Amino acid sequence: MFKVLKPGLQTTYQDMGRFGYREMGVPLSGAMDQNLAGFANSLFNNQRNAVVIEFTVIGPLLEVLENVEVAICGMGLKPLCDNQPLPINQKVVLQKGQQLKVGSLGESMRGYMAVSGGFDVVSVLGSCSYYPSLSIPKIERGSLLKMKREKSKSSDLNIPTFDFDFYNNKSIKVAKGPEFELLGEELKQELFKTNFKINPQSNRMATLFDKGISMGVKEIITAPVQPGTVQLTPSGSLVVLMRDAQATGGYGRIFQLTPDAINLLAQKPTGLTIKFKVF
Amino acid sequence: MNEFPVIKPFGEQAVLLEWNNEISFSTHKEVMGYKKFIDSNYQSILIETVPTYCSLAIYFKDKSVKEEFISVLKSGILFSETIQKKQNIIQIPVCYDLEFGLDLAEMAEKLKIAIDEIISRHTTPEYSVYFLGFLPGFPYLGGLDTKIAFPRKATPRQKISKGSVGIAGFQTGIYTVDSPGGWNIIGRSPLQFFDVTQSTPCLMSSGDVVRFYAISRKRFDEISKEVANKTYKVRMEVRDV
Repeated sequence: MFKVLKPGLQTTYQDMGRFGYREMGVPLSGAMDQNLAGFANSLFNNQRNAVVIEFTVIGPLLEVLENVEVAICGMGLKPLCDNQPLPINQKVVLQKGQQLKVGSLGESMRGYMAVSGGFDVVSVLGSCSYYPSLSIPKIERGSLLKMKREKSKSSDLNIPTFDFDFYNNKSIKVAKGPEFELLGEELKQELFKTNFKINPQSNRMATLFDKGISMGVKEIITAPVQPGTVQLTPSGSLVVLMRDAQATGGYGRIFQLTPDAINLLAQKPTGLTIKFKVF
Repeated sequence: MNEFPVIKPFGEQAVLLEWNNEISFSTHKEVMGYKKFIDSNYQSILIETVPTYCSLAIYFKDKSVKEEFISVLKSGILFSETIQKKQNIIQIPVCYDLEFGLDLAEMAEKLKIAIDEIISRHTTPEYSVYFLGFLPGFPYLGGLDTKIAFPRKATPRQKISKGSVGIAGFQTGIYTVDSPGGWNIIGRSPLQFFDVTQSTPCLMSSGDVVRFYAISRKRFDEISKEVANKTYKVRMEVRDV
């Protein structure tokens, strides 16, 4: 068990998401980078869907309330335990009374903390992923982070090595979306040539960019959208919907990210530029 | 053979069916017919299906089954329309006091209609629930009196309280949970529209009929209390269609 001294930024409980409730307007949610969350769970032979803690840019400061094994995963992290550096992306043992400073993510956006069996959170509508208006607890100063007592015997994960080089990729792979063919030839060219700079307003719901393109498309009658849908607004702004995306939306859907591209984009820090590439 | 639905790509694990690009009861009925047929016959390969006014998203558990499903669709689906025989008519109490109806005064001025007339035009029609989306349990309602249609606010509010009833363009809807939003707010209902502790978390679902009726500020407080104590019974009747 841990006690939260400082929560860090957008620190939440996540599993692989809440399926089957989009018809009621409840988003999928789930870990933003499902590859890395899965890797963190694989270190403990956990189920892929075991609950991890996701943090954004800055991780939490925690007091260790009992001896525990934990894995802190992310790129560019330099966590400290009682001011001593801790290795990342592997299991480490912490002792009761120690203070764990997860610290900030240097070159990426999101990191994960996993424990054996996962964190213990009451599931709402089949998932423990945090989403506002559902009653999953927030992680804030003073919160207690509890671990599951019963461990899974076998895992559905098999990740012998993890490819961190994947995250160096600068192009985001997309397929054409339902409204792509409404775009003129010049606009299509512009979309593939432009470097899009990630805006700090981006969050779990959507990735936004500083500047869009010269023209947009007119709004559509509200229709289904999903994580990875790229919307183009009438004024030419691009919005990439992420894990907490609503189930329906009214902007033209020009691309759909591949599942891996969603994980990749989830790790691109604010200020970085990306390009879209049709595969 | 009917030219609709059109099958469109929607990523690796999904496919999109589209009908005539319009908001109409007849098109939406076809969408729902397909949804019911697909949900009941292909449940084992689906995560879920999501209907809107004139499209249906089909989300598969695994990308490997998508192509086969599309070829079944193209071959002319053996589609037996599931006709809805019963309809719920749900009565929604709304307090239209200015305390809750934040945009009533502005709407009355710009539409050149008295506030009382906006209220009576809002409480007269029967509205159909097309689908839920935008927020957990948020109903997209069809049937708004066009005289009180009003464009979405240019700048959305940071927080709209749950239960707020709004108008955006030709649509009216209810903020089922606290949320930022750009709809014009005309009143507030004391009902609980989304409750994860219930076996059916949403008060309404696609195909239901909704009517609004005006209540006083005092009645709003009384119903709020009853809702909190779980003693309030939503006024609902079932009719044959």
